[in-house]
Amino acid sequence: MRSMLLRRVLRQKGAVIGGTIVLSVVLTALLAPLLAPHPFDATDLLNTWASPDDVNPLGTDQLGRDILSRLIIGARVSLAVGLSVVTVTLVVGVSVGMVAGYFGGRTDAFFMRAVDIVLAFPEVVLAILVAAVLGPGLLTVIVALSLVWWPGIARLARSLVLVQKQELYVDAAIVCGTPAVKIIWRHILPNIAGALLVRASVGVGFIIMAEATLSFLGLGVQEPVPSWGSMIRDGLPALRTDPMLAISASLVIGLTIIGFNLLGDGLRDALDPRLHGR
Amino acid sequence: MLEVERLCVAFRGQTGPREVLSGVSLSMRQGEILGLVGESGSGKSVTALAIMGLLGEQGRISGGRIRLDGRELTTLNPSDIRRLRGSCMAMIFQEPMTSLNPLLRVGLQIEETLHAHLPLSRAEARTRAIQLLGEVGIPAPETRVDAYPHQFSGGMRQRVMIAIAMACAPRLLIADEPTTALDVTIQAQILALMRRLRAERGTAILLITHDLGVIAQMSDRVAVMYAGEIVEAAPAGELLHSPAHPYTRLLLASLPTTRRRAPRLPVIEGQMPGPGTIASGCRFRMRCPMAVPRCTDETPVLAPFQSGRFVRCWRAGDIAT
Repeated sequence: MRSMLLRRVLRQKGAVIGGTIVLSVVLTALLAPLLAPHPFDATDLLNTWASPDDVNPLGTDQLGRDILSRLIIGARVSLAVGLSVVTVTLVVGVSVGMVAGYFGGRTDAFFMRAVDIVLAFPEVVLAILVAAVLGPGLLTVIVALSLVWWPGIARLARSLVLVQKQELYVDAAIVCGTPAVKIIWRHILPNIAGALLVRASVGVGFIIMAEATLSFLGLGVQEPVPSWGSMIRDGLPALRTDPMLAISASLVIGLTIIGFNLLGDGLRDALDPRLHGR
Repeated sequence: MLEVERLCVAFRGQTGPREVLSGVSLSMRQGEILGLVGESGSGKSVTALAIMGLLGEQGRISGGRIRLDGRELTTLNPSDIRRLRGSCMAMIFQEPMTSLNPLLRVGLQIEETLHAHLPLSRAEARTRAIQLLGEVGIPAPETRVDAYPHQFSGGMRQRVMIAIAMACAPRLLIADEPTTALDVTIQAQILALMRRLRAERGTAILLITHDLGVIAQMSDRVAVMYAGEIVEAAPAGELLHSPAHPYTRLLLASLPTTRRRAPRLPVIEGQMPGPGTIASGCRFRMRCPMAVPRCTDETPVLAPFQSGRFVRCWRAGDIAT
């Protein structure tokens, strides 16, 4: 069964391209210290904003640090934040959303009001609150973004459950005496997993962007450790004169997001048996 | 075996509760097929849902009793009634195309019901699932057990639904328009299957339909519902040959036949009154060609009429003669 799934994924061009991109980003992050041609924090004040050449393939930033090396190291932060936040928000958001949607009534009202309360705070304000408690750093970013992102997932999961609850197969499972937990887990979750997966893959991209916002405010990882977001922030003031820094970081983020989206689409199609005859 | 006594069900409405079932009484013996007929909105399905304990948040049993094998169902807590569903009573629906989970192999869906009620190992449940698929007439059950619902036709899916419903050998099977979505030849096969299962296992079947042809083929007894009440209950043959309630008569008269040469089919003028709109009197009087003043003033009761028959009409005696 698992190998069947793999074969179905491999049959889709988009999923293969997306998977390749995601895999290379993950490998880059894992092997970053080996791949980076220069130390990411080696400054060279006589060689700032250098154009691409043999020594610095993508040029240097405002402190003369090698952009390529910093992009490679930055993959670690961006990926760590993106993946961990998506995991946390999926687990929390989907559980809350499905329970609220399935049981309805007071349970639903309770969880959805909690969601409303969280959504009432702008994400930056929440992040500052978290930072005040935890101090700035990677963990702060992950906690803050998870806090901000789970309500959206919960709402999505709830609305998807409400749609599935109208389906007759849910009633059919109920009249067979199937326990509620099993109906949620075995019947409804697989039917909404596709939509959640796509949302999650798009989410990785947005979360990588949000990490940039928090880094911009100094709440994220601290200098000299680079993240793609902070590199865009550093490159923006010099966009007209020396665009390499902002553009290369933006391109890497864009490519990673496309990779996750393609992979998410492909997985959704591969998980749906209706699209595969025998 | 199944006894429903003066069952009342009310749904929450914008202006307060609206009573959609007013004192419905039914009784079924083991192995009996009871046909429940009536037009849309007459309360057939609500009766079934009330028995299964599936009225949901909007609906509430506001009076009466439901007993299955002597056990009172209206006061059971949710987890006890869940244990009864599938084991003591099961239900199949009108739409076989959507009553199976599209993402699960049919075998798993049968095994799930087995696991919910019986202490079986995985291998035992699978063997049982294959056996059940064979019993409902699915060819090559050993391979079809691993197929997905979309690989089955409508009739085959309804067979799978019946296999799931019969998995734990329930005493009562509620079939809510089981053949409405199927074409005629398949309909005949499914009905034959249900009759066979009844004969082999003694399962009582509550057959809900608006197809009088199905009723004629299947039922031992028939109950006719109108506006949330049972207006007539009788053995199937007697009811179809000599209906006693004006509504039943008009219903039967509006069937197309090949013998009668009529330019137009007779229709019952007007519409069924909505729930809660009639405070007293007969609920059918506005559409009834035989209504007399008494029908407005006094509410008729479901009274014995001849042997083994019940009619809710003041003029039943006049009509029969």
